[in-house]
Amino acid sequence: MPLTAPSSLNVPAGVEPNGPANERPQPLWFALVFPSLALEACGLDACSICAVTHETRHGQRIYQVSAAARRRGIEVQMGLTAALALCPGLVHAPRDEASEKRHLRSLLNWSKGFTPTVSQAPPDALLLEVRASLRLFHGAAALHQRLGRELERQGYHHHIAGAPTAQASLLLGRSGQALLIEQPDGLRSALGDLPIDRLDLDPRLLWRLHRTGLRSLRDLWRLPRDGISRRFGHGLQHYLDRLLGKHPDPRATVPRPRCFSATQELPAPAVDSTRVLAAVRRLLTQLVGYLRQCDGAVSSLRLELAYTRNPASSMTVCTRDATRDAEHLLRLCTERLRSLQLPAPVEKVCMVCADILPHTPPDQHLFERAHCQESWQQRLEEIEARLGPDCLWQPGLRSDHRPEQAWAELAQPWSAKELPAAKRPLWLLARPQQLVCRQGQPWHRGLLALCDGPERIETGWWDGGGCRRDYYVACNEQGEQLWVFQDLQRCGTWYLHGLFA
Amino acid sequence: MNKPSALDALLRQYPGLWRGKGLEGAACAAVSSGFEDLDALLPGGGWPLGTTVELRIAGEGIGELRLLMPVMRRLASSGRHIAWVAPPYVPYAPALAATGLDPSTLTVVRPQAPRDILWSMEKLLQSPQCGVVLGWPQQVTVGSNRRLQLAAEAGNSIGFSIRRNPCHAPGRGTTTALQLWRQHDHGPLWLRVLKMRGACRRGELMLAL
Repeated sequence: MPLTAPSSLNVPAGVEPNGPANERPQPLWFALVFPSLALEACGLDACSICAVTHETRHGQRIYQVSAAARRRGIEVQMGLTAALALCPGLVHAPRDEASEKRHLRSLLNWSKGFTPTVSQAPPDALLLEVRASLRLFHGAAALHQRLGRELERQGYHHHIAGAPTAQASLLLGRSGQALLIEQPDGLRSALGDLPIDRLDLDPRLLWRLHRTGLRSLRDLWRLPRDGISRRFGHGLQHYLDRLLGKHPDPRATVPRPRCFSATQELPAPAVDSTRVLAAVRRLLTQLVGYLRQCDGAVSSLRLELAYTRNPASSMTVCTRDATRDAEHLLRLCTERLRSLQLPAPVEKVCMVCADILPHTPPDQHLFERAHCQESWQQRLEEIEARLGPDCLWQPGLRSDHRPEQAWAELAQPWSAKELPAAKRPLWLLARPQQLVCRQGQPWHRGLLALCDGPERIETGWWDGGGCRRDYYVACNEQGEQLWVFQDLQRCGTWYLHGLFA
Repeated sequence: MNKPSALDALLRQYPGLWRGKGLEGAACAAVSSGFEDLDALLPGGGWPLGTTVELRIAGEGIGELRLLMPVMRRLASSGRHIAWVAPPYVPYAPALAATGLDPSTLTVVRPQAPRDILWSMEKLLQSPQCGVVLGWPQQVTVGSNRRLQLAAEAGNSIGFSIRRNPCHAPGRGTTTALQLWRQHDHGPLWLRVLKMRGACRRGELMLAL
């Protein structure tokens, strides 16, 4: 019995999203559907007569066909022998699911450049929520065109459909309709002409709908809501609600990846670092492109060199601040590689960044000072990359009366309030140097004349490093001004401790 | 009247052109050394920016740092960084603080190999953010002196190579060379110009340090 109902009954009162639309922006979903992805993933030319097969219970069946092959009468789910009988020149390959996943993954990384909310709709589609990106890309129509252009350049067959719900955009895209519906009001009429068998539902349910005499979605719109639920189950009603946005349809966004890893094989084993550097440069280009897509930066990266005979070696390049400046990273890698002796020819280079940090661009100052500061830091990093991590230091103060403990190597500046009152030398000997005595006077490249002093320093008894010394300023015949002390704990031995340079 | 203006244009175009006695230092950017007598001797009235200066000292600690403290202080206060490469002793923080040098501007580099000392000096001199580089290189060649000079010109900074050497002949490839010594204990610091770009003076000077 065919179900007929007056069209006025098919809209339940109060469900149309009218009021809230003004408060919260409606989402806009773009479905990127790749109808020939299986062909492209196998390396087949989707414009030629070709097909991809898969193994089923009934032997090898056609999984996907190119448009040219379809014109020759080859259909999906046809047996391979039948297809070859129809078209002897058919190029066919078995389906490669892993390659399809890789292609979809790389397309996903590419589409992250347009919006952060991207989800996969396997096996052949991506869903992009683009409402927040529309202003940047000059509106939905411009973005629609741009996505199409870039996909064409990458060589993918595609259908791009835009709709206020994810399910509707996916349905339109998979039906090959490159429509763009921005408002929810136009959704019902746009979907109305689509045939029922395109719906992403159980084939048995589709067959039941077909037998009932329903051919297009418009036929379904005319049915009463409770009638559909009673007759075909809640699943269908739920699906239709998600299609029209009456029911929420959350999609899992693919999260920002946590690490980057890429390998570059050298064309021939290289013994000189310049050819290794060429590979590093290509890897860095990949890394920076990747960091731009996920809006990240790195503060350390590991380079692994695989040799022909020797075991692989690795080195880590660190920066003071997180960066994604390819030129700067290349300079650091250059310095590290130059200091490295290659034990054997290098076969391949692998770059691993385990820690992707969020990118925080430096604060923009009104004048150019900030930029200078940054490039000074980069210069210091460059020196550190060549000389080692602890080759740079800044002299700092410590509160201690013992001269050898009153300074420290640190990165923080000192405060000038804790300075000793007496004169101090600009050079300090890292370890006091014992002086010989001649004619009862200390001697250092000549007899020393004591000009100033003594300054008694007697402290540190509480931590075991106690000292009891008399410090003098002394001069020798060459005009050197020295800081010497007499250690009263060691029978008055004389020591040289500093130079007034 | 035409001839002098053509000469002026030439002099403006090439500031490094030798001008003969009494005419030197017309357009050379310089930073005051902090000592009036020395400023009068140096072309442009101070340490010239974009050059390297070789200091021959009779021994460490005769006053070479006190001679250079004013120029370092002056450039540090204008926001440029100071770097010391391979100092022979520990720069003593309490004494540095007492001289009034802004400590956050001072960076000390300790390279291991002699080659790395010259390399670090060159890298630092090239940076426009670096004002003064003090280096204690172990061995210098004509080529390394020339490279340091070009780096200083690129960064408009002053590089001081401090070498303990009693030899009176200036190193080849440097633009300016000074000799420092004291004649006897407690005596004044003597300074002799061995070589100077843009001037043919060979003066001797007594500094009260």
